[in-house]
Amino acid sequence: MQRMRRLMALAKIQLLDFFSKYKSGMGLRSKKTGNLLLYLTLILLAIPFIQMSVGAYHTFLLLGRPELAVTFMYITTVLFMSFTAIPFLFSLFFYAGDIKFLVTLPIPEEFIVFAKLSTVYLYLLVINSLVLAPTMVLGGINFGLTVGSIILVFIAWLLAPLPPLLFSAVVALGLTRLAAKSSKKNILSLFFGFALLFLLLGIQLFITGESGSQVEYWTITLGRFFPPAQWLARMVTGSVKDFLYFILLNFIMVTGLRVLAAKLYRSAVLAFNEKEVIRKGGVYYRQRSKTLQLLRRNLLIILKQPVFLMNTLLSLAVPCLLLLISIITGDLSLDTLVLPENKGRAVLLFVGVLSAPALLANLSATAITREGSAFWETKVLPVEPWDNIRSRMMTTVSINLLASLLIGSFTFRLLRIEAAFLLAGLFFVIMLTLFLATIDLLINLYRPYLKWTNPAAAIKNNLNVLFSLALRPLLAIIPSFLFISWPTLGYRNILYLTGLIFFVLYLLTRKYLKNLMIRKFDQIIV
Amino acid sequence: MLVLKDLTKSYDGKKKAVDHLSLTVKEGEIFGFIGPNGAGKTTTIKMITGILTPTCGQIKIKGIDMAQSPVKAKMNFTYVPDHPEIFSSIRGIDYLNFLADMYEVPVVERRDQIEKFTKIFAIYEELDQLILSYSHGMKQKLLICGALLPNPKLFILDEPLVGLDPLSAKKLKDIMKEHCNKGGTVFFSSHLLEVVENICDRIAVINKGRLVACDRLEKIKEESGHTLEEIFLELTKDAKDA
Ligand SMILES: Nc1ncnc2c1ncn2[C@@H]1O[C@H](COP(=O)(O)OP(=O)(O)OP(=O)(O)O)[C@@H](O)[C@H]1O
Ligand SMILES: [Mg+2]
Repeated sequence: MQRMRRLMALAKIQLLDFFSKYKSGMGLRSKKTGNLLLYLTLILLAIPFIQMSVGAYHTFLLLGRPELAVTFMYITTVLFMSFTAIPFLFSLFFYAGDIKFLVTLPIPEEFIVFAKLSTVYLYLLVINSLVLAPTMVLGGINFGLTVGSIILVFIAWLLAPLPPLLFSAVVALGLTRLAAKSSKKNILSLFFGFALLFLLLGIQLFITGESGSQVEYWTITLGRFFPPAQWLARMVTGSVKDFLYFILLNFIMVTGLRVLAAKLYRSAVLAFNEKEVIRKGGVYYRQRSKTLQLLRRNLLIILKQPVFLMNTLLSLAVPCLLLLISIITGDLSLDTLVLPENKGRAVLLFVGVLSAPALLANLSATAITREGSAFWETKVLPVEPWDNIRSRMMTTVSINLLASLLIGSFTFRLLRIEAAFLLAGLFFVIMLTLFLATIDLLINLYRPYLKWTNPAAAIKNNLNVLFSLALRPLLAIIPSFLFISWPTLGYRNILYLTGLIFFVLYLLTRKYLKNLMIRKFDQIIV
Repeated sequence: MLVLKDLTKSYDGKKKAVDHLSLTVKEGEIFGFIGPNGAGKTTTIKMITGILTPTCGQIKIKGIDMAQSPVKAKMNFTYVPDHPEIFSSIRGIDYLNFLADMYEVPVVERRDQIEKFTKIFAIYEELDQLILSYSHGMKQKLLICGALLPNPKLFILDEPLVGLDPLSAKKLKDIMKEHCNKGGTVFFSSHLLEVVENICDRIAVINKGRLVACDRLEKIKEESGHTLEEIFLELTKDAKDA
């Protein structure tokens, strides 16, 4: 009982820390508009996920196997959750400010591990509600609702995040322990993140693929490899036996983790904190320009922090992987795409892939937050505030454009895009990148939030990122409007025109918001 | 050298952390800034250095208004904070080169300065290591070396002696004196009254954001006939009632 109370107290602190982040520094004048904006953002972001879930259900309904939808979506969700949880746990376990303090407390290691898991559990529950829950509810309704089945669906919803969470914890701790001797700890986890992402996207495209029987076959096969997905599916239809199986699985996993946690945690933390002394390059004296130094500093903040680097690379890699997988699975047929009558589709695809880094890696939205407690450093230096702000935008622009160019250079050949369209596409992407890098920074200036306790909180668990993502769909209004109201314009001209509009928006932002940005920058309390 | 006029800062719009503070630091002097915990010392220093914007009031450094031409004003001083929280995934030498570039110190001069100060504080051998691997005191010494490197006219330090070993503390005090003898000015906050007593030309005592005394130490002592400790306790005695 005493032990339980201590575990609860620990978990409570972790959860408070998690939620205070959302509440602290809303940076909006009135609480009401702040909350409204928040809910609007969340709804805007939730829609595509719910759509995906409902879409999957309908795909299986058409195949006459609605119960498989839950199996399939659970497999997807498990991958999605693991992919989210591993970097998150990595950050919580090894980079959180409270670790040094926690390990000195007279509490068993597994308590610390479980307390940290409680935060991630809530996070996963949200993912679960968006990705899996709609399918489960539709499935439940389809098989007739009873009080019993409603309770089972509810319990299924609560329990679904547990297996991937426990699995991720073992992976995050185990990987670090295994890689303790190597200097490549972070690379290893990065690799794992990519592998998962690859799997996730593969499955995603699979469901939208044409051959229905294939989807059915694979779901059944995968379900056999991963029985919890089947149990969960049957739970939704009201099977108490499968519910017991699922509970038993979770019980075994929790027990397993309890045994492992004590062993893994201390050794992983110890291994992690053994920072080897790296000497290289020797002492040098070299002059660089102020602009270059500031840019370098901002770049290094991303590159040298494994959690930041992982997150940036993952968001930059998504479009590449998406394209690659769709080609491999045959979902996207290159032979038909290069046909003259499909030219429009090819160009759209090309521009979409090219703009993905700017759209998905919203680096400016956390450019100030990422600096954390070191933010004061550049403020005391003899640097114009605007130069200081600009160096952050330049960092975003250079990373995003580099990624766009890399992605573009191979998709351009793959899709056999004509030079004229290449030029239009590049113009569009450069303008889009410039505009987004500026407007995202404004979000961060309004909500600087420098007092994070772990790096995942700075970039993932951060409302700025959500706000900036919610802005993206609104931008699509411009080209869509042009296309509808001016159908004869053609893709190339629309690209140039939209690019031009973004450029004008960028100039206007700079002209009219520059002083506001400087004022906000000066007012940040350190 | 440094003129503060009616300097005021309120974090929440109600309570004033610094309340209409006015004082003048003359060229070539070591100026001690003392007061109990939460008196507003760090807040004042953060405003002088440009980390925080004052709610109202004026800061002039060498006659240059901080609000009007911050970059020009900032070229004249450097700052060592109370907590050495800096971007630490780079090596010590990278940090020093970064600072030297910011204050436009030519290569030859920066080599001399960096070698001189890092050798005094015995961190020269560690300059090619990541700052992450430094101890707290080493980090602080790195920041002190970085602040001395551009040979600033005004050297601002917040609680500089906390966390330093006795030898390093002695060296820092010597450097502060030497800096003044060469015409530089030092402004620092401290809790350590004997240090303030030993090296300061003038002191200011601040309590609850307000200036309660500012003069030559001997003069304050003469007038009251007490030791600095007694004076300090007397001047700030209402601090605990707050
Ligand atoms: N970031 C902040 N937000 C809100 N209030 C703050 C902040 N920083 C300081 N304060 C408040 O301002 C007042 C002055 O704090 P300050 O840090 O300047 O004191 P100090 O004299 O440096 O104290 P110490 O000797 O403990 O360093 C305190 O009442 C403190 O609570
Ligand atoms: Mg202080």
